[in-house]
This record gives sequence, structure tokens and C-alpha cells, in this order.
Amino acid sequence: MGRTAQLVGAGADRLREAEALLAISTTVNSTLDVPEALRLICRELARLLGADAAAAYRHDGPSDQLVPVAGYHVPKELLQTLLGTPLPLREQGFYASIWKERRPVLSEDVATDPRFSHELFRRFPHQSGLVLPLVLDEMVAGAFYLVWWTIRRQLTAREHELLASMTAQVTVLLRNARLFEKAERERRQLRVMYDLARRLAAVQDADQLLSLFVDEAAGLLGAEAAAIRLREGDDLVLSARTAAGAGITMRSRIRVDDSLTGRVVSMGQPLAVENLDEDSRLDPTHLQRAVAQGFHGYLGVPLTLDARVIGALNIYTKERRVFTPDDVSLLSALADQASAAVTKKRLLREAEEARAAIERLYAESQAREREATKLYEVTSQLASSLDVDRILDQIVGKTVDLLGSDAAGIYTYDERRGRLTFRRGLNLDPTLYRNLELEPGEGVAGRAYAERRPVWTGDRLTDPALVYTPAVGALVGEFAPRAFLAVPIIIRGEVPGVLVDYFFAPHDFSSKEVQLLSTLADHAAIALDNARHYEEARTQQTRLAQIFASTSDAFVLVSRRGLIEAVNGRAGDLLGFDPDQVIGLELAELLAGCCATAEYDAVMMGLGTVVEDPGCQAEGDLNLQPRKDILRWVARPTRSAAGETVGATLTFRDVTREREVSQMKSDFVSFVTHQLRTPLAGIKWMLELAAQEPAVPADAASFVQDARDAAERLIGLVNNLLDVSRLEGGKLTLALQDVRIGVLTRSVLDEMSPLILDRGHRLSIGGDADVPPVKTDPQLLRQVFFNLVSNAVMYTPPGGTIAIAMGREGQLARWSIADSGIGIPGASRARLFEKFYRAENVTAIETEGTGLGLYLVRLIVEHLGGQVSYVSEEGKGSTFVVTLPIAG
Amino acid sequence: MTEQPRHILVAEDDRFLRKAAEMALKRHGYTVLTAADGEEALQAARSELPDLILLDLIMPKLNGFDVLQALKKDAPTAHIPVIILSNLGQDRDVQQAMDAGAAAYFIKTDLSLHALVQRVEETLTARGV
Repeated sequence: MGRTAQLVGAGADRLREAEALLAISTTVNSTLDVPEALRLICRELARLLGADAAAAYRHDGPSDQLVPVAGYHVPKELLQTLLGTPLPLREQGFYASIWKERRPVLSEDVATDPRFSHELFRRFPHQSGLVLPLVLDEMVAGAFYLVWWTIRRQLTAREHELLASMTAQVTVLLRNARLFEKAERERRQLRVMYDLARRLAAVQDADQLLSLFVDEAAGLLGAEAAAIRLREGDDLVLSARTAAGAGITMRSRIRVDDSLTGRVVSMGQPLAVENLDEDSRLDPTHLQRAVAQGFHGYLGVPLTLDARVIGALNIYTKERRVFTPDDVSLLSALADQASAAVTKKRLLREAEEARAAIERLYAESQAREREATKLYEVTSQLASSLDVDRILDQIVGKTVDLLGSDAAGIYTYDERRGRLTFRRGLNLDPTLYRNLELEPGEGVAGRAYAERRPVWTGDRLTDPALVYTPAVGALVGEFAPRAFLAVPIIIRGEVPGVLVDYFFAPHDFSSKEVQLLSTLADHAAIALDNARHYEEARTQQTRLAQIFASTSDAFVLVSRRGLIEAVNGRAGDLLGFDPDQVIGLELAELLAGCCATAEYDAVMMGLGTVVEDPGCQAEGDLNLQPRKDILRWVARPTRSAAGETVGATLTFRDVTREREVSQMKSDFVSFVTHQLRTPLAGIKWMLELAAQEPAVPADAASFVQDARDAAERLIGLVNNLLDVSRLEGGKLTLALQDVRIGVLTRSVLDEMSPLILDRGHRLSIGGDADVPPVKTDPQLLRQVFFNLVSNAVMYTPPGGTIAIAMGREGQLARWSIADSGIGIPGASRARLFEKFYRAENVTAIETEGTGLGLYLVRLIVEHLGGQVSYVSEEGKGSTFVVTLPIAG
Repeated sequence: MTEQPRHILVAEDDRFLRKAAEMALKRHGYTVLTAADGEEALQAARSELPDLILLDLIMPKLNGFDVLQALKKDAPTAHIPVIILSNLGQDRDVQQAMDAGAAAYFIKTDLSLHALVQRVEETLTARGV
């Protein structure tokens, strides 16, 4: 060959190379049809390298094989064999080297090369073969195979370069194609899912949602039937199926691992069956039914949630079908959606249940709170839970939780200021609400307060109904919330506060939200009320404790068993002990050391009496032993709220000074009255002498008589005063004798007989034979009878009746005197035995009295250990009754 | 006619009472000696030896209890009945006087002159027979 021919030859080679590269490049850039592109490239490669035939393969991911997609110059009789024979990767042979080395592999003698051991190469024998792998992202994405029937082919360095360049170009093509495919697939799926999601969003009922899924799954994948089974324990329960699915998915429950769908679940992997007839895994009856219905293809994918298989979505096709990865991917995407729907369904149900549970809990807690309101004592013990601010914070927190709002707050009504004050807030700027106060009717909360109903605004910026004073308006203007919902907290007709719910963006409040916030407000109302009760109780308790501690009287609280439960400081001072050291001790122990036995006994008996008979009280004196102090004690029963006697209160009053004063007074009265007696006796005697004068004119004689009467009254008054002072001063020593009260009575009547006769009263006396002698002081008792008889005589109009009756009642002697006199008006009865008291109607009868008579009667009778009482009807008469202990 | 013992000593520091008692007794035929204090009363009793003494308790110089005690200590006067006329009405006063030998004890205001004369006569009758 000449030089020119060489040059022409070389030029022609270059031209061919350039043409091939251009063709490949054009193909790569102009088409995304990969099989077509591979066919074209295959041709160009064969031409370029002078190969006799060529084939293009594409890697199939799921089967991991090289699948033939195109042939070039393959003899017709061999084409079908070539196209029908995929080449497995990762097996022995050259495929393995393709897989491992990912670079061109050339054999000059295919027949003897162990790498080319696949039977395909035996079916069309050839001398040389070249495998050209297409590597994408370090994976074998495809390959070309070039055949030289007879020549031993070797590659020049230049040819290696060319091949590298071409494979790089093809790789780009593959990458683009794959990306496009992926994008296209995703776009399609997204479209499907978007449509599906829109349809699903309109569906509220979860079962309906699943039905929609199976319909979508069948429609999208061109299947005739679809079904969803959900896992319940070890069972798979049929949850939805298409109408056509009724014929094959008949059992509502199958076991996990059972049949095809059971396997999908147990393995957690998609499962595809091209032809059910040829698959032994299907349950025989199921198979029979499926075949009878004409179904052949099956594809099932698991429904997974958080890596847990919760069920399966499956489809059936009537035609035999090789399900593509896209099919699997699409059905899996649907399955994911279905899982989400199932989850959503479950979450919705749980949320509903949780909400119902919360509302139920509220109802229960309300009932409990009401109970607590009644059970005042229980309430007062719940100190920690009754802190108002803590309760309010809890309510505010719950409001945000339950309503899903951005913030919440509580206003409380300040009665003193007549305003709503912002009390507690959550998620709000404290600097803004710290000084926030609303007039009733102002803003949303003010209106809720004034109108006693929920009030809201969807957006404060555009609500013309919102009115604020300038100062509040400025504060609210800086407030983050835009939408407010306020409900009044109402308890027993009062509105102690307003609960407010806030959103930072405009918000339409639903009736459910209003209802829920109202429920919370009810809760708040009861909590606030309890807290108020508690505060009141505590204030009262504190006040009582202060009174208890600061009073000048000494208190000792004693249990029924006589144990000291509480004492105040004054008790410690008076009785000489440390108030903190005696709680729980026996009162008896405490008193034993500080007073005489008799007095101690009196106190203990008194306590016993009041505990047993809550109607009475006991009292007495305690002369403290080492000191000379005199304490007056009073025992009264203490009762529980239920009215049960739980112990006694013992009050001690230091009467030492009082007694001293009383003694001085008594001594003074005694002195004065003694001094009065001398001139009184003088007057009395002189007037007596005057009355005896024979020459006194009649007028003068009557004056003298009046003066004598007046003197007698004065003497009587002085005598009574002396008696009172002696009795009150306790200076009277009793001269006890056996006294027959009948005899004593007759003696008194004898003394008074002139007066009784003068008044013309009819007098009766009886019963004295029944009364044994009474051990008593005759002088004092005489005065009692005298005063009572005297009263009966004086306060009964002339010609009346007076009946004295005596008798015995157990260990008591009973003496009574009934008259038909003017009686005692109701208003006077309570004070009748008081010193210097005279009944309101005494002026109705012309008589004199000192107001000391009945007082003396009471003093004496009580001094003698007896009692005096009376019954009376004004205008009809009175009956006075004296009882005395017979034994004295 | 048997000579009745009619000689009475009235020991009383209040002149009105002294005068009233004297008048009443004289009207009933008694001769009356008077004394205005305790010493005077004791002297008169010792020198005159009256048939009966009306004795006040609270008097200047010597009180009635002391006079009574002195009279009862002296044989010549020990037998003379003494009626106490006092303002003091307390049990212990009465007791003290009776223990000291008084024949009777009256509170002045409780006794009319008429009653006083009666008591004097009763006492003298009881003693004189």
C-alpha cells in the first residue's frame, strides 16, 4: 500500500471513528429510549471495531441479570435464542469478571476461555468476543457483547481509548435515562398520591378510607381486585376489599404466615406471583376459588408502621402478569399511605378517646370538687392544693393543652377596685399583662364578665366590636395574641374571674372550643371557690387562734377522756405550766398539784357532768395552793360540727382582784349599814314615843304613823343589804340543824298573820307531814319563806288565795307557794331573780319593794344547796317553788 | 306590894337612843341610870348595882364586850342580867356576847320600845323570882 493509500486509509479510519462517535453522541443526547439507544450504539461499536455481530444488555435490578435488549447482525436463527437468554451476573464465568473488574474483557479464543463458559456461547460458536460493561455509580448498568466469528481480534491502545470514551458517553445516557425514569416514576406516583390524598382528605370515616385505598390500588395497577388485611395479634383481619375481591378474599380472618398474604406479613417483603396456578404457596381452597374466578396474577406488599408490619395490601389480576418494580413501588407507596391512614384512624380514635377521657375526668373532678365544697373540714386540710395561683396556673396550662391554643390567661375580679385584673398567664409577655386591668364590659374578657357568657374575637385587629380605654388599648396593641376567646368563671351567681384562650394568628373559634373552655371555666370556678372557702376558713382559724392566744381568760380544751388537747398562753400563766408541754397530758394530773382536793374533785365532776349532759355547764372556784390566787372556772361541752359532744372547754378567770374588790365593797356596805342602824333606831324609837303622846292632834298622829312606816322600810332595806353583802361576800357560816319546814313555815305565817288578815287573803297549807326534817340553816331558810310569803301577800289583791304546799321528791324537799296575784309579765321573767330588779307591773299594786327580796331568796337557796323556780301568768298568779336537799 | 326590881342602867353612846330608852322605861315605872361610854357604864354598874343593864356594844373608851366581861368577872355585878342592844347582827357577835354571859341580844332597829320594855320585864321576872 502506497503512502497516499496509507494516509487515505488512516484518514478513512479517523473519519469512521469520528462518524461513530458523532452518531453515539447524537444518540445519547437525543433519546431517552434506552433500548433503542443501546441498539444504535451497539451498531456503531460493531462498525467501529469491525465486529461481525453485537448484542446490548441491560441490568435488571430485581433479578440481578443482564437482560438482552438489542442485537446487531445476529443471524436470524440465533436472534430468538439470544434475546431469550438473560445472562446471570455474580456467577462463575466472565460475567463475574465483568462484575468484579468492571472493564472490557476480550477473548481471542472463546471456545477455550474458561471465563466464557455460559452455554449461550456454545450455541453460536465464534473465535473472538469482547464484553464491554457499562458502569454507572459503580454498578454494572448494562453491557455490550461484540463477536468476531473467525478472526482473532486484539485491541490497540487507540481502540481502548475509543472504547473508554464511548462507554463514558453511554454511561451518561444511562444516567440521564435512569434519572428521567425515576423522575417520571416519581412524578407519576406523586400525581397518584396527590389525587389520592385529596380524595382521602375528604373522607372522615376510617373504614371508608381503607375501601378507597383498595379501589385506588386496583385502579392504579390495573388489577381486577384488591384487599387490605390488618394484623390483630396473630390474625390478619380483612379490613377492606374491592367489590370484585369478594370472590377470592372470603375469609375475614387468616393467620399470619398463612397463604400468600400471610407470608407478605410474616416476611415483611413484597410478594409477586405471575401465575397462581404454578404457585404452591397459595392456600389450596383459596387457589381453587381464585382460579375459578379466573385470577392469575398476585402482588402483595406489607403495610408497615415504625418498622412494624401491621398488615398487607394485595391485588389480583385476571391475566398472568410479571409485576415490574414500578408496580411494586407504586403498590408499596399506596401501602405506606394506607398505613398512614390506619395510623391516622387509630390516632384519631385515640385522640377522641383521650378527649372523652379528659372530659369524663373533668366531670368526675367537678363532682369531687362539689363534694369538697360541702366537706368544709376536708377542704381545709387540703392546704397544698388550695393555693389559688397554683390552681390558676394549672387551669391555664390545661387550657393551652386541651384547646391547642398559643396562650391562655385568667383575670380575677377585684371587688375592691371593681375591675378585672390579669392574674395568671401562660406564653404571654408578663411585662405586658402585669398591669392589665379591665373595666367590666371592656374588651373581650370584660364583656364576658359583664354579659356572663362566652365572648370571642377571631381577630382583634379587624373587630369593630372591641373597645378599650386608651391605656388598655395601648397594652393590648403590643399583645401577641390576635384571636381571643373569653368565658366567665361563674359560681353561685357570682363571677370571680374570666378564663381567656389566645391564638397568635386570626382564628375561628368552634363551638367545641367554646364548650371545652366553658368546662375548664367551670372547673376553675369550683377550684377558686374552694380556695376562697379555704382562705376564709384559714383567716377565721388564724383569727380564732389569735383570740385564743391573746384572751385574758385561760382556756383548756379537754377530750372526752380528760386529755388536754389545747391550752392558751394565759392558761399556762394562771395555772403555772408551759403550754407547749402539757398537750396530751391528763387534766387531772395537771390540777392535782395546784389546788385542794375538794376543789379538784369539783372540777373533774363538773367536766364529767358537761360531757355526759351537754345541756348544762359547771362552774366553781379554785384557790391556788402556793399562791393566794382565786380562779373562777367554767366547764362547757365542746361539740363537733355534727353536734356530738367531743369534750369540754374549761375556762379559768383570775378573780382574785375581783374578789378583793368585792370584799372591800362588802365590808363597806357592812360598815355603812351598821352606821345607819343607830340613827334609824333613834328615829324609830322617837316616833314610837311621839305616837304614844296623848295630846297629839289627829293629823300629826297620822304623819307620825307614816314616818314610822317609812322608817320600818328603811330598816328592812338596810337589813336586806346587810344580808346580801354577807351572802355575796361568802362570809356566812351555815348553822345546820334538822329543820321541819312545816314548823318553820307556820312560824313565819304567825309572824305575818296580822298582815294576811288585814288583806283578807284565804290561806291554805298542807303536805308538811310528808316531809322529813331537812338539814339546813333555819335562820336563812326562814328569810326565804318570809320573803316569798311576803311577796305573795303583797302582790295579791285583797281577798286572794294563797296556797302553800310541801312534799318530798326523792332526796329533795319541795316547798311551794301559789297565789292568785298580779303575776309576772313575760318580759320580766328572765331577770326576776336579779339584784334590784322589780317586775314591770309592780306599780299596778300599791306596795313597796326593794328589789332585793327575790335576789336574796335565790342567794340563800343556792347557798343552802337548793333551787328556786317559778311559773306565772300575768294577771292570774304565780307559783314559786323551792327545793332543798333533805340531807343538807 | 312586892318591891319589884326597877333599877335599869342604859349604856348607850347615842344620846337620842339613850333618851328614848330612858323615856320608855320611866313611863313603865322604872328608874333609869344612863351611861354614855363604856367606862361610865362600868362605874355606874359597880356603884349603883342596877337590876338590869341595857348595853350597847360599840361605845367610846370601853366597848360593850369589855364592859360585859368586867361585870361578869366581878362577883357583885356578875349576877346582873345584861341585855345587849347592838347594831352588829353577825352570828359571831351574837355568839361572843352570849358566851360572855349576856341574857339576850337584840338589834336595835329590830326592836320597838314597846318590845324592849317587854323584854326587860320578862328578863327581870325570870331573874327576880
